[in-house]
Amino acid sequence: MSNLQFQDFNFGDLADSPFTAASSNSGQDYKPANKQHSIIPGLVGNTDEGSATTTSGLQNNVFSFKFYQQYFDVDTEQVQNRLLNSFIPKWSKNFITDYIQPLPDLYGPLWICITLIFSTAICGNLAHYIDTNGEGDSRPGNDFSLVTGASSLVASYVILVPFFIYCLLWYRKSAIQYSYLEILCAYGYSLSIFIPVSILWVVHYQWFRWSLIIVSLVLSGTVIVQWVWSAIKTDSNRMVAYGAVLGTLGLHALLAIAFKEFYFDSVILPQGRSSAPTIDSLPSTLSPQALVASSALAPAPSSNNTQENNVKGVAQNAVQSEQNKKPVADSQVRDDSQTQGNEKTNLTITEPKESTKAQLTSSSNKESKNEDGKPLQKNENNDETKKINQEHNTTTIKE
Amino acid sequence: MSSGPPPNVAIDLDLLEKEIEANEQSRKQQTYTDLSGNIAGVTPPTRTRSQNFDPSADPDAEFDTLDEPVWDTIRRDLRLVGAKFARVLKPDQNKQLLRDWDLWGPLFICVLLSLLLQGGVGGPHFTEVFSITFFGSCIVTANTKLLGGTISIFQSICVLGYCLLPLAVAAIGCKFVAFSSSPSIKLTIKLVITAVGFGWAIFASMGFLAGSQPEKRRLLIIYPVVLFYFVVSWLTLSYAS
Repeated sequence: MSNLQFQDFNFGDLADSPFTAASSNSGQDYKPANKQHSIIPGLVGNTDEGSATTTSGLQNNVFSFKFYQQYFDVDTEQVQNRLLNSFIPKWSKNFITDYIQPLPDLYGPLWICITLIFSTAICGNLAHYIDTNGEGDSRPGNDFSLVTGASSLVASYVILVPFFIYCLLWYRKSAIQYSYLEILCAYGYSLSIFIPVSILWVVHYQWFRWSLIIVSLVLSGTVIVQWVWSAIKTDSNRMVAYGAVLGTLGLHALLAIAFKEFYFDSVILPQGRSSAPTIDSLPSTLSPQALVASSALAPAPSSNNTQENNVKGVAQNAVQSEQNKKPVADSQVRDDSQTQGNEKTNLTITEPKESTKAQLTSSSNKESKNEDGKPLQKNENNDETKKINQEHNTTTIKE
Repeated sequence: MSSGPPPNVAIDLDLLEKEIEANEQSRKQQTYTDLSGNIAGVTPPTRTRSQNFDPSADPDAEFDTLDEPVWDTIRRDLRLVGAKFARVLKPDQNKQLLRDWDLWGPLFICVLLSLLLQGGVGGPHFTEVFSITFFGSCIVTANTKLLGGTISIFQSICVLGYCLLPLAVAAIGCKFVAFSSSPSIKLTIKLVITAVGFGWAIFASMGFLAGSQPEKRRLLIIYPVVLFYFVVSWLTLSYAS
């Protein structure tokens, strides 16, 4: 056994080897070798990335199964760790370097995206269902298209935005250059907070939805900003650095707001209008009803002209429309109408009409807000007349 | 230490290798259950034999089925598929039946579900439901394989497809409920039926998939299966009417 000895690698003798940091020159030159990256880790045989996969990285064909298997090499604990830390920001911690390197996984992003797609679609449909109080579960052209629309949105966000960040970091030769899959992995995990948020978005109050957006954006945005900033902060052009950070935050916010607006806030008008013709047989009794109903529903909140307050008004409208469904409770509002027998029939007939009125007034509230941007206090009378004119127009058109 | 002559070293290495192999095999057999199976229908000749055949033609038994009437073939396949349906509806300890996989059953169930759930105002098209059920089970299978499960691809698709049967039954049930009373009761009944179907499907598929996963990734493999059945249950609840 004497000839079986381990061979000594004397580091002093190999001072000019590229693999030692003995000489300062070679150290600096080959420092990028340690941080050398490729778009996909493992594709080039690096020494630092994916320890188990370096030698096999080159041999794994893109079309072979093993190539993808190396990106699913995670345990439950790891996935849970990455998931929790993606929306719990900690000071001076970099999500990518701490949790994702050396081996990004594709399990997390894939299943988080699929869960997010279906949770937004399901909860969006649920929100619509609650909005219309169950009048018809499937509405024209809107129901299943939520699934397909959500999948396009989420997939393009998770695939394209990391690509842009990767190109930016590569182009600017930033201090830390993550690989594309690491950025994609980080983005996939950062979407995980939107899953419970999308479930909570079913609750109908606008201020609640906005506060959910703000909280989730603060949490996951902080984590994203941390690792983006630590990569780009040494950039010579400060504008690029700040722009990158703001851009990522802005895109994140845009995704959340897009979900909220298109999936949870849109009120389906065509269905509402289609129920109007059946009630138009009593136009004369309806107009004071309309006037009183709209005055009951319309009072916009007092002074501020911020959008929040106005959408609060929308929420109040929605809440009041639900309250108005109770048949005779608000009869004191209609005291200036005709006889009581007429009242009751009108009440029963106008009940479904009120929901559409609520929808119309809410939409017109939004419209008037967008057009004017002024407090509605002073213009209340004008608004009421405007609304009555609108309703008259629609009723006349229907006839 | 002082070394012996080289032949001793060679023998030691051989023994060492054999030991290592034996250890690995025993370890592998301990952690994973044996899930081998064949495609259903290619069975030993003693099991499924039509009555008209000569029992002495043993060596050519697998070619006998080429000559049999088509009706016999169809009937045999239908019987197997029906047996698997019964096995799913009453999950018991015998797992051999689902190990002999076939894809007729999943195809039939996917087409049935797609026909039941398609159409309607704003609902999904046939293609959309079929893609979700069929390719959804493919994606869940791919996930299982990528995470290191030992089940084969077709067996997994077979199991996932067959365990959709309770949801298909729930869809049929929901369609019958639609002809009855007030909306809220209708909704409650549909909810109950769909929840029962969902639970049944999960229970049936867990019974089979339990043994094939590495320990540390069990939750990672179970979650997509649960998500898949949840999505199909939501489709059933929303669009079967």
